[in-house]
Amino acid sequence: VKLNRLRQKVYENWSEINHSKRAIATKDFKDDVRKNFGDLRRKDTWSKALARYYAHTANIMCLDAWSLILYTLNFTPDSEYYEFRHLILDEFLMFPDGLDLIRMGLEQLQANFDSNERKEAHGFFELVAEQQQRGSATFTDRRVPRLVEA
Amino acid sequence: LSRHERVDGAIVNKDFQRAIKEAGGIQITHRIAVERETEELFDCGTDELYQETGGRKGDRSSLPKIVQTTYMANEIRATHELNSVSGSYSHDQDERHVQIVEQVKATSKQTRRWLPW
Repeated sequence: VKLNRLRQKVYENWSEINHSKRAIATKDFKDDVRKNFGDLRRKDTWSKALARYYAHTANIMCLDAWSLILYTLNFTPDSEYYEFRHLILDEFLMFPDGLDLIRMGLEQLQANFDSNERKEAHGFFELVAEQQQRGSATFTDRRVPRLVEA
Repeated sequence: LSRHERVDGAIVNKDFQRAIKEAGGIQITHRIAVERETEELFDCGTDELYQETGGRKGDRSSLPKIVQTTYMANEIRATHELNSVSGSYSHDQDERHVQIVEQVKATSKQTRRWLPW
């Protein structure tokens, strides 16, 4: 993803958070990014901002937990967010209810979807498998994997 | 028309989400469309809706019955409308995203008119 496009994506996610009147500390977009993530000329500043804001919208716009697994956190290579998937998941898990929402989503998927429909979430399952390989504390303990493998 | 199954809010929502996908929605389309739907129907975001009704976030079956039936009614309409108009949507994915969100918003506005609040 090119820097301009990345900035645009960061802005879209940031606006969604503000749109819903759930204010971030300041109302100025660039100030906000600079203050929290650093030098605006660096791509990694924008990558971090994207991950944080995307995770934030995923957390507050969560009517149905299963849609996290099937859509919001289901990253496939054709998604513009693919290269940021690990950063996004890490940020999502920083929310106190992040892991619970994922667990709830997996349970709903198990209850209401057949195995072909569940397979559509392969981007999410691959992401979790990659996190397990990286030794992520969240996904190497025994709370989540049982459901993921199910 | 051959499938017989018991229908509840989860099934209706699943069909609605599928219609968004088939209309060419991208990853973010799903949650943004649902957020606009919620704002039009209830004048608040989904997060607030859960907080103010004491529901369990992520689980719509924990919301008050009237809220659930309202979502069902609206999502049934929105599914049909998306299925019937999405053939004419743009080939550009960003534009399609906007068209889908706007369609869901418009349907939700209409639904709101016959709600008592």
